[in-house]
Amino acid sequence: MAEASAWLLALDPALRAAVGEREMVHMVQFPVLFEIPDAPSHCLQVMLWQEEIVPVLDVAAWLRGGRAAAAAYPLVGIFAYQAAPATIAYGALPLESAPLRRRVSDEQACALPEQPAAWARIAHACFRDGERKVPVLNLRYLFSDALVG
Amino acid sequence: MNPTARVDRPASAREAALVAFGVDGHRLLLPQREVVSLESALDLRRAGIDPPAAGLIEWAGEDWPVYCPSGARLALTATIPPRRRFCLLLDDGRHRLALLCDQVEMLGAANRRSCPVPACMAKPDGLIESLIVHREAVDCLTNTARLATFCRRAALVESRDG
Repeated sequence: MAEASAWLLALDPALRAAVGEREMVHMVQFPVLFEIPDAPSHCLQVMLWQEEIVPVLDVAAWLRGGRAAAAAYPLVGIFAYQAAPATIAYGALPLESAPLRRRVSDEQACALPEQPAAWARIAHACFRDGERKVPVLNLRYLFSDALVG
Repeated sequence: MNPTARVDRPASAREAALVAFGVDGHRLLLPQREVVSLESALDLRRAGIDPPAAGLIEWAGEDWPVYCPSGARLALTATIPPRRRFCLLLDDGRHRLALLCDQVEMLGAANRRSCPVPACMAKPDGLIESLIVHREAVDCLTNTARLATFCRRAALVESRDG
């Protein structure tokens, strides 16, 4: 039976998602954010991290069809993903609280939650954590241009 | 060819002289070479405006449409807030328009780093051409063509939504 480690992310008071253990590389409290005019409503700000410009994407706002908070986020996670062969890129997600580590086995695999329906676009797997279904984010897709427009 | 007659323009925002202008807390940068004049918002003519333009301004014997971006989304408005004191006249050889703004600052050449807009934020024909990193801050570089497209898009929304 295969097992892997994951980080459990609180995207807002209700929504949870997960990423692979190695995909989360840092957390920043009260980051300095820069607003980008005419950006998609779920991704309005960037931050500087290790001299990189990192987009801050509000997954909860996108899933609910809303607009990302214009105010500062108290906590963001920095995530690494492979944008192209041999190219690592970074993106940030606002978090409600510090991520929790989980060991996940094949037996916990389950179908995606039915709501919000848009989970199917941005998650490439799902597992059960107690009573809760936790979608696993496809970071490469999330931070591509697929959700723009 | 006379080598002394050729003056290369700076290839990027790294060396180019820029203009920073502010609107409701947003700060945008433009290449200085696209700014043809800086006028007072008091010189705006409001008669016969064609929304979403907020008015017209006469310069060099011609009327230029004036746009007034406003608020978090820089929506174009015909209601001009009192803090819009400046009118930037822009011309890139293909597009010509004027913008009302709160502040204008000329920026000299500096060691700025230009970065692309992240893929998840980059709209086709979006307002922002690239992001400029300078002294631990990120600014947004636009240009006259993108501003003209932004205003044209707003005009389409205006005509669609009435």
